[in-house]
Amino acid sequence: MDVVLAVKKYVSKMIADSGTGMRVLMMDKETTGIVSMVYTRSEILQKEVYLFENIGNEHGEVMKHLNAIVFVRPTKENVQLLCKELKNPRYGKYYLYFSHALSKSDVKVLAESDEHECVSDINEYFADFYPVDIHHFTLNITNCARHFIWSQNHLTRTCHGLTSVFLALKKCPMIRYQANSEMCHQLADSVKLLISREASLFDFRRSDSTPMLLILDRRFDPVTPLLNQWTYQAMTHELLGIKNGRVDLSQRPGVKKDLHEVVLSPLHDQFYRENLYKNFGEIGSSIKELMDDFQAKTRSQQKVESIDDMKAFVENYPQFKKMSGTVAKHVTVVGELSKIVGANNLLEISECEQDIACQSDHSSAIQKVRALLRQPSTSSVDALRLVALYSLRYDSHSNNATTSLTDQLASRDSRRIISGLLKYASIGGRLSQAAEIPGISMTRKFFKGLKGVENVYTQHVPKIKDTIEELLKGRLRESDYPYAGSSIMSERPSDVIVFIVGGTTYEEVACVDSINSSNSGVRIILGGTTIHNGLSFIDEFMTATAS
Amino acid sequence: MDEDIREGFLCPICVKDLGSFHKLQHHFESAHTAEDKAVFDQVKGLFTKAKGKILGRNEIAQIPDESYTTSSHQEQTIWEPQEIGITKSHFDTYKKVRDSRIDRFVIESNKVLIRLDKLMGHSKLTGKQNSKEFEQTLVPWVRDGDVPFCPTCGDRFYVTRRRHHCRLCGSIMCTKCSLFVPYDFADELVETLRESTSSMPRQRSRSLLVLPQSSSDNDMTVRCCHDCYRILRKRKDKIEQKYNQPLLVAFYEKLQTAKTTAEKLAPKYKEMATSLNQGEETFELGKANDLRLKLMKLYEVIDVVSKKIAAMDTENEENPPPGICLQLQSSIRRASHMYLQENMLTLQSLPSLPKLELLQKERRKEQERRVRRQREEAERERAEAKRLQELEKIKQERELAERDKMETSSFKRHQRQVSDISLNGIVLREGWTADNGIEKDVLQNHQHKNDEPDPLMEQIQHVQKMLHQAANAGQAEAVKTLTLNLEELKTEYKKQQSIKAFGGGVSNRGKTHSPNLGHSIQVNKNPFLDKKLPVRKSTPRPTSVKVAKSPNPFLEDEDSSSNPFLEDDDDSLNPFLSSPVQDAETNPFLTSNNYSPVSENETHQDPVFHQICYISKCLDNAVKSGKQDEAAILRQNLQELQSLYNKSR
Repeated sequence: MDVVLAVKKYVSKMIADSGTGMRVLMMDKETTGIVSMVYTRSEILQKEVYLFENIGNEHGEVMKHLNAIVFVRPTKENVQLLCKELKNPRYGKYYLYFSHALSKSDVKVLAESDEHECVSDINEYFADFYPVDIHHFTLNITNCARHFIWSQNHLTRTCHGLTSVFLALKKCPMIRYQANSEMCHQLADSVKLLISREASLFDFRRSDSTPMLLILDRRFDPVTPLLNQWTYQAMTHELLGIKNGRVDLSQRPGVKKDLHEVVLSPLHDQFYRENLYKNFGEIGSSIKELMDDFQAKTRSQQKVESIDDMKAFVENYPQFKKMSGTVAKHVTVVGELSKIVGANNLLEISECEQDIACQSDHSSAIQKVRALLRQPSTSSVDALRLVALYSLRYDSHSNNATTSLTDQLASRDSRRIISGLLKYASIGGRLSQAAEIPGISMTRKFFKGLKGVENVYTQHVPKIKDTIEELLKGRLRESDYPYAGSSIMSERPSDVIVFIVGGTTYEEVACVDSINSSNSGVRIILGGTTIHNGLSFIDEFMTATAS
Repeated sequence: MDEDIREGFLCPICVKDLGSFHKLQHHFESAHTAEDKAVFDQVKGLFTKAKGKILGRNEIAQIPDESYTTSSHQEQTIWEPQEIGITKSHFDTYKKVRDSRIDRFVIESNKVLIRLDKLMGHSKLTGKQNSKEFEQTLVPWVRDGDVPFCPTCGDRFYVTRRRHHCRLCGSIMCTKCSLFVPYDFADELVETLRESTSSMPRQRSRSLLVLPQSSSDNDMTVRCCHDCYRILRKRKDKIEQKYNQPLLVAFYEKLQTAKTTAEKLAPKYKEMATSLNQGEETFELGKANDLRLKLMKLYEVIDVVSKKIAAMDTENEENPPPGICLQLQSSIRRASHMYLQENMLTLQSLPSLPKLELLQKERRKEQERRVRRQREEAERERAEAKRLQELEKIKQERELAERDKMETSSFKRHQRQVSDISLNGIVLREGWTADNGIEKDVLQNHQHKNDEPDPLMEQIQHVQKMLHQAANAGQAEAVKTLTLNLEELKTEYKKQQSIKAFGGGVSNRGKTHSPNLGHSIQVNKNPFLDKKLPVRKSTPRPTSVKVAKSPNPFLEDEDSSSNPFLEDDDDSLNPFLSSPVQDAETNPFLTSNNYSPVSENETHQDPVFHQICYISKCLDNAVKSGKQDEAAILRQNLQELQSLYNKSR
C-alpha cells in the first residue's frame, strides 16, 4: 500500500528490462510528471538513461546506437505519434510501456507500423497517477466538473487513474461513494464497470482483508481549502504553490537564480520528510537545528591541518555539499514563507479564520472580519476568503451580513465568487447536517472547551477525519455512503483508499498521516483529482458553478 | 576443578586455545564450517560486539551516518514490503500481427534483391547495360496498353511522355518518376545478399573486384520505381547500421567496461581497507595498495574517456553536431562524474606502513589487555571466594577453638592456631598474583609474563622506539602523529598512576582500565575535538523556539536566513570536475573560508567566556588531583573573570 514504491518499481523495471547501453526515455507530458515524482534526473542518469524526450517533439536526428524506452499514456494521440515514429525509427530498439490498458486495435495499428521490426517489447505498466507521498496521490486534473457534471475525458482519466492505483497495489476494492453527489456516483459506477471488464487483471489472491475505496466529493467540506495553513507542506503549497513536488520561486524578489525552482520531495529530502507535518513554529527550530548542525560540520571541515584531515574532508565532501544544498533550500523557502506571513498579516487573519470555522460566536466573528477588511495589509485574496468563510459558516444565521461584507470587498468578482461558493456548498453538499450538529461534534466541542484551545491556528480539523474514523469503526451510514454493486462488506476495513472528486488539500494529507500512525494495522491512502490551495479551490468551484 | 575453567580465545567446539580473536575466527571458519551456523553467528556477533567495546570505537559517530542512509528507505519499513504491481504484456499479439506483415515485406524485398543480383551479373558478363530480352526474362513487364496514366504522378502517357518499365518489378512509370540505382549502391546490396545467403564467411572483396571496373562504368544504373527503391534503401540502412557504429559507441563501451571492472573490484577493496584500518591481519597491505592503484587507474580511465566523450566533435565548426548529440555526450559525462564522485572520492584510504604496524600492535595490545583483564577479574573472584572460604574456615575453627577452649581451656595452643591460620590467610590473599595452572597456560600463549610493567608503559616505550625510527627515516608526518600519540600515552599513564596511588587500589585496577582505554583512543583520533568542545557547548545562543502562538522565529533574524550558504549550490561548479585529486586538495580551504564568517563571529565574540570555561576546567582538574593551593588561585581568578564577563554583558 505504498503508492510511491509502486510507481518506483514500475519505472525501475522498465529501465532494467530494456537491457544495457545508452538509452533514451521517451515520455508524454503526464508520464514525465509521474516519473519525475519518484526519480530524480541524476538517479536515472546513473542507470544509463542519458536522454529524455517528449513524444512528438522530434529532433529528427537518427541515433541507431541508442535504444528507446517509451512510457506514455495510451491515448489516441500518443499511439498515432508512436506509429509515425516506428515507420521512420530514429533509435535502434524500442521498448514500449503504456500506463494503462491498451486496446487491441491500438496494438494492431502499432504492429502494422513497425515495418523495421524495432519494437522489442510492448507492455502495460499501471503507473497512471502521480504519487506525492507514500499515502497520497493526485491526478492533476484541475476543474474536473463543469456545472457539477463530469466532462467525459476527465471521467475517463479519473477512472483510469483510480484503477491503475489498484492494479499497481494489487488490490481489488469494494467501492462506496457519497450518496448525494452525482459525480461520485458516476465515478463509482465507471470504476466498477472497468473492474468487471478487466476482470482478468483484477484477479488477485484475496488473502488479506478486502480494501475499500471511498469516493467523496470536495463539496462535502468546502471549508478546509479556504483556510490558511501552518504545517510546512500545506503552508508552502498555500503561499508559494507546489507543483509536481517543485516550488517555483522565480517570482519572488531576492531569491538567487539557482534556487528559482526548488524540489520539495519527501522521498529525496530527509529534512523535508521529517518536518512535512510540523507547524511553522517547529519548523523554525528545526531549521535552527539544521543550521547549527551544518555550522558544526563547517567548523570541523575548516580545520584542515594535516593530510588526514584533508582526506577526511574529501571523503565527506559530497555529503557536505548535499547538506549545504538542503540548508540553502529550506532556509530560502522558510524565509520566503515568513516574509509572506509578515507582509500579509497572516497570523491575525488565520486566527480569525479559525475562529469562524470552529467557534460559534457570530457577533465577534463579524467584528473581527470587519476590522480585518479595513486593514490595508490584508490582501484581496485573504479578504475574499474571510468573507467566504463567514458566508459559509453563518449562511443560515438570522443576522447574516454576507451582502454588506461582500460590498466591502474591492474586487468586482467577489459577489459572483461568494454566491458561487454558496451554490457549490449547498447542492446537497453539506451532508446530513442534522445528524452532525447535535451528535459527536457537539460533545467534542464541549470537551475542547474544557481543555482550552492548544493552538489558535490549528483548531480546525478537516471533516475527512471523522468520516474516515467512522468508516474504520464500521459506523459509516449506508444510506449516506452506499456500496457500488450488490455486495456489502461485513468486517471493518483496514486498507482504505479515499478519493476526493474535486481535489485534496495538504491539511487532509497530514490528517490521514496522523490516522495512519496512530492506528496500527490501518493503512489509508488519500487521492484526489488535484491538490488544492485557496486560489486553486476558488477557481475549481467557480468552474463547477459556471453556467 | 581447575580443568573446568579455561580462558582465552578458545574455540567453543573443540576447546582449543588459539591466542587471538583473528586466529580463532579463521580456525572456526576453516574447521567448523559444517557445524551449526547459528553457534558460529552467535560467537561472531559476540566477538564483534566485544571488539567494538574494546577498541572503544566511537559509536556515536557511526549512528548518524547510518540514519542518514537507512532513512531514505523509510517507506519500506513503515508498511510491509511490496512487490511490483500488475503488468500485462501485449508482445505476443503484437508480434503475430507484425510478423504476418513483415513476412510479406521480406518476400518482396528478397525478390527485388535477387532480380537486382541477376541484372548485375548479366551486365557484368556481357558488358552491356540494357538487354531488354534478358530483363524481361527476370520479370514480366506490364503491357503498355494496360496503363494509360503514370501510376505515380497521374499524368497521361503520349508521344513525348513515354512509358518506362521498372527493371525490378516490371511496373510502368514516366521518366519523371523513374529512379536509378547506381552501380556501386546496387553492387553493395548484392554483395551483402550473398553474404547473408551463403553461410560461408566471405571476404568483402568488393573493392578489389569493382574498383577497376567502376571507373569505366560509372554511369551504369538500373531504372526502378519508387517502391522498389524504397525497399533497397531500407536494406541499405540496415546494412549501414550493422557496419557503421559511430565513434561514440566505441568510447562508451570502453567506459562501461572500466565501470563494470571497477564495480567488481570495489567491494573487495572496501573489505580490505576496513580490515586494515582496524589493524587486522587478514590482508596484506601491499595487495590492498595494488588493488587501490588498480581501482584508481580504472577511475582515471572513466574520467578521461568520459571527458573525451563530452568534448567529441565540439570543435568541429564546419559541421557542428546536432544539439541532441551534445546533450547525450554531456549527460554521459555528467553521469560518469557523479559516479566518480560517489565512488572514487569516497574510496577509503589505507594506513601507511608504520601506521599499520602501530594499529596492529595496538590491536594486539588491546586483545591482550582484555584477556588479562578478564583473567584478573576471574582471579579476583576466585581469590575472593577462597578468602571467604578461609574466613568461613577460620570462623569454624574459632568456634571449634572456643569449644576447645571451653573443653580444655588451653589458651596458648589456641592462639598459636589462630596466628597460623591468619598467616595462612595472608599467603592465600597474596596467592592470586602467583602462578597457577591456567595462568601458565594462557601466559605461554601470549608470551607475556604477569609481572611485566604496565602495558601503557610498554606502549610508551614502543612508541618512543618507533618515533626514533621515523625520525631517522625522516618521515615528518609519522613523527608528528607519533609525538602526539606519545604525549597522550604519557598523560594517560600519569593519570593511571595517580589513580593507583590514590587508593583506587589493586582491586579497582581492572575496572579503571576500560574507560581509560576508550578515552585514550578517542583522544588519539581527534585531539582537537576535546579542546573545542566546551567552547561550542557554552556559546550563548539566542533561544529561538517560541510559543506556538507566534510561530515565527525568522522574522527577526532574517540575516541568518539569507546567509553564506546560498553562494555555493551549483553542482556544476564542482571542484572535482577538472582534476579530482589535485583540486580536492587545494579546495577545502577555499570553500571552508566561504563558510567561516558565521562561526568565527561566534567564537570570537567572547574570549572572556572561553577563558572562563577553560579555567573552570582547570579548576576541576586541580580539585580532582587534590592540589589545594592551585585550586585556590584558580578559583580567585575565575571569580574575577566572571565579574568582568558580567560587566561586559
